[in-house]
Amino acid sequence: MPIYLPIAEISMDVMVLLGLGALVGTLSGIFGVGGGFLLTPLLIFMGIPAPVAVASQANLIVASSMSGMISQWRRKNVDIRMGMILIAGGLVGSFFGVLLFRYLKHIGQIDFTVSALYVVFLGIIGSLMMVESIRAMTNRTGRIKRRRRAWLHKMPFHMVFPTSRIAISIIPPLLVGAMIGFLAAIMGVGGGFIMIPAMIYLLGMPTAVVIGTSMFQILVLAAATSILQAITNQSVDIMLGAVLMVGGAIGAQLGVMIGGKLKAEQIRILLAFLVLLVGVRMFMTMIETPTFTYRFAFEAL
Amino acid sequence: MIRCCSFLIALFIPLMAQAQLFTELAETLFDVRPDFDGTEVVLIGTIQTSIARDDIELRVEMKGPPIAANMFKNESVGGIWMQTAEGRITIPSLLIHSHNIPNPNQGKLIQKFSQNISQPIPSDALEALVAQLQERDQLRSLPAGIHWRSGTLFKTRLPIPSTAPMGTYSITTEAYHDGELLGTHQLTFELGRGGIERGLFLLANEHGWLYGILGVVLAAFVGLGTAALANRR
Repeated sequence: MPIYLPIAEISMDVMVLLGLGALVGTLSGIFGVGGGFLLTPLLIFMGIPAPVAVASQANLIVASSMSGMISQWRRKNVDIRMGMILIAGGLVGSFFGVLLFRYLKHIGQIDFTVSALYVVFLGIIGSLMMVESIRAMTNRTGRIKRRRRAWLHKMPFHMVFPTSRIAISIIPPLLVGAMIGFLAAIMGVGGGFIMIPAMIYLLGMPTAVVIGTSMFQILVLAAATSILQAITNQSVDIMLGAVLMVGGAIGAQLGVMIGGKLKAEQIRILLAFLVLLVGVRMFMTMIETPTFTYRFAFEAL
Repeated sequence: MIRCCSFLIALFIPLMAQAQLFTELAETLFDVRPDFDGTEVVLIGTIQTSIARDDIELRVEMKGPPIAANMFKNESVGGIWMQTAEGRITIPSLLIHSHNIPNPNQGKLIQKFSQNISQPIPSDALEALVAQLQERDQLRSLPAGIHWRSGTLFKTRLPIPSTAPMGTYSITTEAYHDGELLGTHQLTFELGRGGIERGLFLLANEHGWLYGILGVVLAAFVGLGTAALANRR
């Protein structure tokens, strides 16, 4: 059954899009990540223009992070104060990210930039996760040690974060937030796959609070990015987002059921494998010799 | 007497070669709705001439509204293929030729297409452009696509792919005999967004902020609904 996407200006099979949403939702349910880093490349592989794929799936991130954040809120695992600082940095990063996105789209380099950023980030994160998972599997305790970072305490503008039980300078969270906001705008990701390690290893926050706070920050940031993209680039396709959301919601429930039957190390190693696979696939498209010397991008007058 | 007959024959021969060609479309307005997966334009025509219909070559050309094509050149930098912007040209978004003969000259379609490009481009760029448009079914030739019905009535179906842009399309029908043009007729029709597609497109382009908020609100409700369902379990 075809569905015409008014902003992407192409027709796609609704069942394929639902299936894709469900697949990413399932992975999201199993691994506890937003899934944006997988969905954007998959949409691009399917022929959705990169600007539309990046901008539209911010809505899917809003839906999934809203759902997850409510559950975490009920368990009192959301550090609102830290979240607000991350959001403040994130909005600044997102603003500059959207401007850069617009410029890259104008000069025709957005497809290459999005692909290159994915290859770099997926490569680094996938490799780190793989190494960490193998270490955890070989080391029976498998516990992640939180180190106190002396330089965090030497920085000015200290603030106490009671929910996270830490007192640090607000500069590192602002910078982390800005970087995530920037990447969210360029790559169309929630940033959970960068945010969570940064909060644990860099800011020294407890793991239980990290997930809820990350979801709160991603929710606000994805909503702001989506609105900014709609205003600046007119590349948000609500129709595409809506179909993906329905599939994603169904898949997420399935993912939670599957995830409950797997061990933490198994989940981490599977996710690392998946991340590396997508990264390699994107890299292959960048080194494959094109059939023609020229390529054209069409645009309505 | 002989002079008089020769004059009348000379006067009459060109009139015999002329033909009256009329065409009509089954529909003149096409709406793109959520289930749009391309459409088909049905053209019916008739030709009034003394020439036997089997000796007439018909060609129907459908041309789409102009679009911009941004040209990029692929260059390998350290084994990675990068693209450099090489300019912007205007091209017809769609060009389809339908014929009543089984083996039309394919080169004419490419020739006609290149004549409609706003500025000359290198031959390898034209080759790439043609291939890209052919892959999207926006540049194609339909041999034996025009069928004679009863008498001098003919019919053709012209496919419009889902990638075709909105705008005014023109259809030109030409009739030939021994390479000589007998008659021509032109029609136009509109391909536009209808229903929810039109509303969303206009909202996205004219009130981006409202469109953005609508998308976020919709997503937030889906998230709330999912959370409520998950908590009920």
